[in-house]
Amino acid sequence: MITPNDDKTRSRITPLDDAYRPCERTWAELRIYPGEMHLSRVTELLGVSPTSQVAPGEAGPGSGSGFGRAGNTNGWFLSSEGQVESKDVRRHIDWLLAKLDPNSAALCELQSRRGVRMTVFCLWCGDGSPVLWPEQMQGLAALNLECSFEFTYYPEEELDEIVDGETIGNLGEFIP
Amino acid sequence: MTGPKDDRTLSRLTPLDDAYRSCERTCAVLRLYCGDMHPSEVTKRLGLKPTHQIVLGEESPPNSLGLKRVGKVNGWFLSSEEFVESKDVRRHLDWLLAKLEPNSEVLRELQAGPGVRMSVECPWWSRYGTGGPTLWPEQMRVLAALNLECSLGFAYYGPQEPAESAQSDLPRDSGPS
Repeated sequence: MITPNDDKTRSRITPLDDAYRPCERTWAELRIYPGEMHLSRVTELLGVSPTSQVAPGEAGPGSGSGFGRAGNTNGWFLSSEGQVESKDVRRHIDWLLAKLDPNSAALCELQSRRGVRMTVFCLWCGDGSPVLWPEQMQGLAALNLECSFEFTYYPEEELDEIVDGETIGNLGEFIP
Repeated sequence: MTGPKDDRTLSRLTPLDDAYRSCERTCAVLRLYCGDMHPSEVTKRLGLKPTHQIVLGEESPPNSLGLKRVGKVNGWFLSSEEFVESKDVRRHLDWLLAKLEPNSEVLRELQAGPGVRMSVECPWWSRYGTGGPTLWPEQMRVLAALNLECSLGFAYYGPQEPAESAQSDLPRDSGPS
């Protein structure tokens, strides 16, 4: 992995920062929607187990509030959430790329199949700005993966409305 | 650039969309802080005119509020904002990268210079308070080849006019953060 002192990184403005204070929470997830293909086939092809998956009519994993949703499509997901302890999205993408790189040919084959769609979805909760370095962008581009960001904004007044002891949706933080 | 119907794009989830509904406003800006070098030298070497520049110790032209500022750093900025009408940040990056790619060697030389720092920043103003931009491999491949980091800034100003609140955000010329 590239460290902040490498020559190539000298001209960059944003060093790696696992404690990036403005970020409340971030993670990166490969989302594959394999159409008619069975999810176990995706696992077999990639040689990696998903961190979650959904199938039509089957209950998906429960949310923070305990509600699971029945899937209406096939979905295979590999998420860095809980696997990487960092508020720097680059670390999360690095983790994902390290899982996918050895299986790039299989990923490419999947992409060529009819009805298969995929994206790398990056959640960003809090202030500040996620930054991608050339190393992550090169890795994603080599795998022909788009990278999509979802920003989640919680204005102060909304936080104030949270009732005692409840979990704040995506934040996953416990407010006493 | 790649169109939405190319084979390689078939598996992608987010087609190009100039109307990108969740976006209020976006652009792509190369922010180049050139150390002790005068920004005019960057202009000369890249063969490109900046859309904005600041010069160390020199007073800037008055902004929309009539205020002038003295430059604390040397900065050279190239923004797509006035040139691309799209709410899809990929279109803005394509414009910027088309300007920069023919000058990749010069950009590399600049990157090796003392005190030179640079970044491509893509501010993204949300229409609804959520959503976000998507980058495709075509943009990421060129950014990586140019050894440029890419920063995606999110802003949401609620249901009121975003232009007023956003005005002070761009260009930011106080130096690398």
